[in-house]
Amino acid sequence: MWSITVHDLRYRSRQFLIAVVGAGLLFSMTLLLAGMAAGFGAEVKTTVAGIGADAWVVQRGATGPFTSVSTINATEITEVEAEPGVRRADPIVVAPQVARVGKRLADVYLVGARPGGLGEQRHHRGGTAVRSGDAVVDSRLRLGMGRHFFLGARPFTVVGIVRGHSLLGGTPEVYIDVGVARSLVFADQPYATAVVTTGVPQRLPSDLEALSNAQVMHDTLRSMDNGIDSINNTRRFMWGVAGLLVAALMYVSALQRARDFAVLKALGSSSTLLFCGVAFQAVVVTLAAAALAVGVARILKPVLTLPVAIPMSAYLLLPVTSVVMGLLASGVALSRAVSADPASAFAAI
Amino acid sequence: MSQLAVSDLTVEFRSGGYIVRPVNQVSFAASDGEFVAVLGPSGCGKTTLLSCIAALMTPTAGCIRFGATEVTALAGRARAQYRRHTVGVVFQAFNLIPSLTANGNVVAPLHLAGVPRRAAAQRASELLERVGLADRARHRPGQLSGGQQQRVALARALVHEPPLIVADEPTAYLDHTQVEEILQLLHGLAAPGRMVLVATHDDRVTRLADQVVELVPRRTASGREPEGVVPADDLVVGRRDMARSSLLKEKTRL
Repeated sequence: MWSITVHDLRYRSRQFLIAVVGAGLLFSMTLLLAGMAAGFGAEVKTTVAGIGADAWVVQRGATGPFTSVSTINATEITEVEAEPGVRRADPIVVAPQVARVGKRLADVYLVGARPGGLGEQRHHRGGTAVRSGDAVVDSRLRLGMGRHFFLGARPFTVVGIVRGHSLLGGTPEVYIDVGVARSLVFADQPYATAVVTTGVPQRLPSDLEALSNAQVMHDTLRSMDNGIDSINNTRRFMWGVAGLLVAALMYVSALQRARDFAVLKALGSSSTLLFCGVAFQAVVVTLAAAALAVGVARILKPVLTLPVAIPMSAYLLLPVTSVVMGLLASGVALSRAVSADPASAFAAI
Repeated sequence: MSQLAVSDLTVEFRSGGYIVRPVNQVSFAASDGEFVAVLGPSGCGKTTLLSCIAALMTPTAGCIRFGATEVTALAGRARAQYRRHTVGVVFQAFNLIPSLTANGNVVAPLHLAGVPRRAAAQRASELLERVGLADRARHRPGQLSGGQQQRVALARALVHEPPLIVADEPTAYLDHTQVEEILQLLHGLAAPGRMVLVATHDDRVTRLADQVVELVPRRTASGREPEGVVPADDLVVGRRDMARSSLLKEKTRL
């Protein structure tokens, strides 16, 4: 029966190829969407980890350092530094800004950090932002080393490039000296939007609260919840469409093979054997589509502007889901295989 | 020595609110080695009768016995085994699997029966040689003529050396030359150890037959009985010991 099934696959290769390409493209979209949904989390994780803090001190009531702008004054910064449990504390300034590169405008997230302190980017290409006009930028800003750009009227030079440091789905981060950031955001007032610490403060002034890295990540991702939900729903919809495509192919194939089924039954084949043949074809089609999807997703991934981090689980789940989908799709042809009347093989053409 | 006995066979089904009875209390018997022609006009139930004998259809009433097997009582696996090993079927429209080569079509029933690949290939080669198609083994049905396709179908029907061959209008789609080839092959198959039943309305088949079973619609039965016809019942008339074609007097088993 397998030999007959394989020969039929070859015989209808164009028909199956169309289904493989169609389902493969849809599968690749599901992979990329899974990557986008995971990408939002990955960029936040990279950003938070890049700061290197154990705790984030913000104004009580502020949801988080990346989703609301609250100010902590110089006195409070000093108090946090002196709290028990704190080994080091550094002020940071986080604020959305617009960078101007020639005539191009780009939304960025400005992160002001103390040179040599927490938040200074160390794992990158190039140097650190030690002078007032230096900036370390994320590669998504598409600026090479030594290139210039403006934040407001202030010129900066790219001295270092980091990767994966973005927020809100690919908005690149720009790291500069915290003093320069204060002059841009707070008109040189000695404020910070948060104080990052190594060690967790045991107690804090009543108007401040400490957030863990996990809380900061959760808060930052919260603003993306609707987007992530929409992406996941679209992904499920695409799985469904791909399943329907394969099911339609299997149904048409079963219609075309109705006489073959009748003849094979007349020759002594059982309905179970016929169904196994159809199911095998459906699984081959969906697995081939899954293989194609992996290739297409890898090609398209760098082209997308959104951060895409396709998790390994998505790659591993794809063939499993494909096989299940193939079996479900072949169920559409099941009735055709089971109900094939061997006596109908006698019918004239 | 297998004997075929069909007794009071009736097939009935509903279609468009009416009861259709294509086969109505048909009875006849045939002996081992016989070449039997089942004759009758279109719609008289020839194909239905053959379907029942090949265990492809279950009759409403009556009994079919082939040798020691009560065909009408078979079910499930036993029925599939009967189809695989006892009956070889040749269809009017050839019904070769289009995706398989001539060789693949002959090998298919062997694979379904679990015959090892090498043994199946060898058997298929032998059979294609016997029907004169050894050189077309790798051709698909679409690349073969009607006569060649029917010879492949014949080879396929013979893979298990079944004691009963059932052929439904095997010459319907063939030209004159091809008809002669196929009839010679079929006639040669009817030999001790094997019976051949051919449904047809082709007189060339009836000339070769050891027995002709003629299905006659009830209304016209009385008016159609030719000379030498012995009525079996209301619907079936059988002729025995027909004059054989001179060139096919000597049967050789294929």
